[in-house]
Amino acid sequence: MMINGRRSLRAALVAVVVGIIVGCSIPAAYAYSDAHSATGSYGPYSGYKYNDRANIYTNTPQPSGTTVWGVEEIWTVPQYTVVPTGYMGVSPRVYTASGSLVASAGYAYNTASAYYFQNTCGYWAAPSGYYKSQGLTQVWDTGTNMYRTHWTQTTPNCLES
Amino acid sequence: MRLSSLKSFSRKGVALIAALVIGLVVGIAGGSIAFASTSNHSTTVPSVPPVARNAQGLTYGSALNARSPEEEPDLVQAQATNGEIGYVLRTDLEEPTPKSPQEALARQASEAGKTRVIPVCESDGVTKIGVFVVQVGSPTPPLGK
Repeated sequence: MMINGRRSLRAALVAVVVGIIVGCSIPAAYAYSDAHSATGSYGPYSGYKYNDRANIYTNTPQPSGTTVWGVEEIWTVPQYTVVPTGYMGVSPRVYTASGSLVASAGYAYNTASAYYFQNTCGYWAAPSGYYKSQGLTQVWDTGTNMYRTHWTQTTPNCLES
Repeated sequence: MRLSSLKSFSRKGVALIAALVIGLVVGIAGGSIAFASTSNHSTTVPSVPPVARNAQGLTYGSALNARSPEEEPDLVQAQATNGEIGYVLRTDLEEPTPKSPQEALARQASEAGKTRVIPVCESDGVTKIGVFVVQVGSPTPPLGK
């Protein structure tokens, strides 16, 4: 009877420990980091006002590293105000915390009338490091017949663990 | 006899599953707290050095110091594909601004899927130490009505 009780207790303890180990591995498998800049506002150009923002994300870390994504976005103000094709351009960038550019993508422009547009670039990063994102946005100004370029705010440092 | 041992086995099974579930809950909660602390944003990282000027009169340094396109240095600090830290010419990094939305879209269509490889130099802007790849980017479909 006593032996049976001890066995049961041991089995229960083993079950708890197995549960803790498996449970701990679940958040690890889905761990990721992200950071977002403050929203920048500019305009009106061609009668439209814009907001833009920089974002940085990491994929789930692997032993050899992970991909860090810089995502820059632009949208009209008031929200859902649609601008013509080619009026919004976005060029994303990723930097190390010490300021070295590690990824950049050229401008992409909205290929259809839109109120929101974003562009992404990626960098394969070794484990452990801090990254930031800051990008450029361009909007068409019919008043001067030229694109106006605006820098997004910089994201805080994002840890690639 | 059989019924009682079946009941006993069933009770043990339920107890074991309960213990496993308790362990899972504790593990997920603990793991989430631990990873949340590594998933936030730290400020204890190297600072960005200020922009300087080379013998040719070109400014060089990180573009992160710039608050506008006018403040961007002539030579932008960048990491080459070989891991070396150097500088890329701003004019190499950024293509000339299109003169109209039509030109922008035409250029975008003609360059679709093409990366650009640009040189990475020392701060003199001449001595090449590697290359930097300007990506194509992955724009999402524009959201509209």
